[in-house]
Amino acid sequence: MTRPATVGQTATPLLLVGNPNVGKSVIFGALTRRYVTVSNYPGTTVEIARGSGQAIPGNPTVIDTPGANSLTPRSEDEAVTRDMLLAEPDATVIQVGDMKNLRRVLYMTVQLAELGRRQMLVLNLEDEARDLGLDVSTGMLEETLRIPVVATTAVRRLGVRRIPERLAEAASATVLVSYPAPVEEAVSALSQALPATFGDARRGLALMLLAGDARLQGQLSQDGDTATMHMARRLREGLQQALGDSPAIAIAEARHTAVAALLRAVQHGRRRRLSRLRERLGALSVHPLWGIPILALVLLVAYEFVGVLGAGTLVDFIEGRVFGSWLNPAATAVANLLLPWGWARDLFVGQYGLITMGVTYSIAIVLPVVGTFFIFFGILEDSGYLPRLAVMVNRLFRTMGLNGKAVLPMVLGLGCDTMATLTTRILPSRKERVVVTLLLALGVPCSAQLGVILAMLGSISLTGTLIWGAVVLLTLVAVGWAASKVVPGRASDFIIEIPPLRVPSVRNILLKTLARTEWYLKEAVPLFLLGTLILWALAVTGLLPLLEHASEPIVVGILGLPARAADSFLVGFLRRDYGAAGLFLLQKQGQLDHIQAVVSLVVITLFVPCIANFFVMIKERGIKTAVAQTAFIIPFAFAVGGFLNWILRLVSINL
Amino acid sequence: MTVTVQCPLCGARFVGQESCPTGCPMAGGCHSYCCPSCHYRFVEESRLVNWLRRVMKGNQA
Ligand SMILES: Nc1nc2c(ncn2[C@@H]2O[C@H](COP(=O)(O)OP(=O)(O)OP(=O)(O)O)[C@@H](O)[C@H]2O)c(=O)[nH]1
Ligand SMILES: [Mg+2]
Ligand SMILES: [Zn+2]
Repeated sequence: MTRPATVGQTATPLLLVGNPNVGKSVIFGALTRRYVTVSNYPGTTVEIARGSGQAIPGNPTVIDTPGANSLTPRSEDEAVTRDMLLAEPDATVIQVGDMKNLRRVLYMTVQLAELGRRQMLVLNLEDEARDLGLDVSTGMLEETLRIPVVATTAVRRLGVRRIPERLAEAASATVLVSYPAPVEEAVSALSQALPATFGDARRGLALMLLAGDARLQGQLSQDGDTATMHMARRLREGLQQALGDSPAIAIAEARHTAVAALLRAVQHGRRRRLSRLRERLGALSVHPLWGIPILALVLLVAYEFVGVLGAGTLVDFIEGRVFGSWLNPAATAVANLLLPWGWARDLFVGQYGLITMGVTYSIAIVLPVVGTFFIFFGILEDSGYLPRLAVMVNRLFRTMGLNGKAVLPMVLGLGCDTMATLTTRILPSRKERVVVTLLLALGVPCSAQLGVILAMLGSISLTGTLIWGAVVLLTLVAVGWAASKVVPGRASDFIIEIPPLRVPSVRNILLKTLARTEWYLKEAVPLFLLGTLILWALAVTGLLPLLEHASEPIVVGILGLPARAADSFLVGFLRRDYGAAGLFLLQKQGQLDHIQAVVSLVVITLFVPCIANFFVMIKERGIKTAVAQTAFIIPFAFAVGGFLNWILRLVSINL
Repeated sequence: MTVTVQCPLCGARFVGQESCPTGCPMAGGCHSYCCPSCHYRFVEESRLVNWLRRVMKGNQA
């Protein structure tokens, strides 16, 4: 069906653009009937492929580009795509996207629209989207964006024919991004200064320049437009001041918000076939009221599974039997046989021996606990409860006056505080980043530590557990609240897509747990050994008793703990779970009564971040902030512990 | 080798190579993926796990 009128239009070149690995080259092949290397690795198309569109009326030139995540490039490949867009100002853009991942697709659509590009949208990988039970309504998208949207399964040539059919309707997409007022002002000033030859692309170019696209700036200065580039730099610096933040982040944030709004509009038309029960349960789990008992139930299961099964049964077996009765005695016998020197025997099998302490702690105590915790965490992830937890925590944060975005780093902190500290980069202002970094370091136990803590709680009473939980939570809320008084929280939206509740697959959970366990062994065991080595060196040189003695006024006097607990706090600097493991063993050996156990747990939870976290704090927040926060946290942790000890003894509670 | 992975938090699929800020001092970035759409970080699967995954898939089919 060739309409003569469209020939003239479609004869303009066609530019295939999209995220990496979404099938651009397959579509290129289909449109040009030419074979291009296609592979399952991203970045396959490093060079630009051109062909004549044999499958399209008028046989226009078709250009394939490398995948890009953003048009404000962060890598050479991405720059190639952006440069192509500028080099072919008249080309019609065929944006190819992954139907499974609309958010990313639309993020690029927004940027293309800002460049004023005539485009259509091809949602490829429809087969995979169907497998996942996603049903994206192209009609809804067309209506919202006002451009042609076509669904394809390119590898099987399904739907590809519709691309040439709809090309004539290509237009610039209708998307509304509302940037903060200072950004808008800078954009309009800058785009007026850009050469008129850029036409409708000027808004997009101005945004790229304001986001600090050095490459583009270089290119434009080469074209002799130095005055405008000076203006761009000045405007950018002005924005940085006005926003108190990098313009790039503000721009990206506004785009994300616009995409989220688009998604909401489109997903109204999205139906998932879910059982009534799952649908109801899913809704209840984020209900402001009913969500709370469900959360409590989840925590109770964690406690039973990790604290009772993992820490009780498994540790008893591995630590008590395997290590206690077989491995450690055997190692001791071997050491006695082979090593005539007392210090060398101590190095391996002494009180601070690499085997009897380092390996025993990491493999016999922490591993079973962390392993069960990983299983539990995997189930939380795969069931789709985790994002719901984020929504629940978000409510708590709102009442604390904190930005809802802080939720993600905090929930992540349960996995690894170090990773979470890195994630605080997504927070919009420096002040918020500082507060969340503090809260993470202060009161969010990482997975390994949480596991060991649950283990200790497992052998105290429920009252003890509740006291621990209440103290930690209260401390977090109080510190967070106080901090947010200093730091006015901007009420920016917390956007997370909530997946349906699913029944996790056993196989996937097991594999995940295996992956995490392997990771734990690689990351943690070396540090456990290092910590043991340090303790051993301190003991051999006679410094350890001195240190213990020096810390007695605090550890024994204020916290009411046995002097040996100081060792645990010492190694807690290296890894939080190592410190917790030391306390756990003290408790198992009957050296801690229940009050002492709760007090020491509160202290180790609030206690300093591990060494990795500390380094990341320095890197992300600067040495001054990192040291200041640590200097606050240590005495603060001991103070809270001391206060709790005093209260519990005062009311002589029976735990 | 690069693989497509799915974020356990928000469900986005992305290419395993691309990641958000790295810089964990542990073991050079501590072998984790970072979801580009929600920034969730999770543990990268090792060759052993990938192999097992394939073997188990093979058995199922
Ligand atoms: N299941 C499925 N696979 C597809 C589809 N389209 C493409 N693929 C596969 O996805 C992979 C990537 O395809 P490419 O065409 O190389 O993707 P690209 O967008 O050109 O990738 P880069 O150039 O690296 O950005 C290949 O293994 C294709 O076989 C589809 O509709 N369904
Ligand atoms: Mg390609
Ligand atoms: Zn994600």
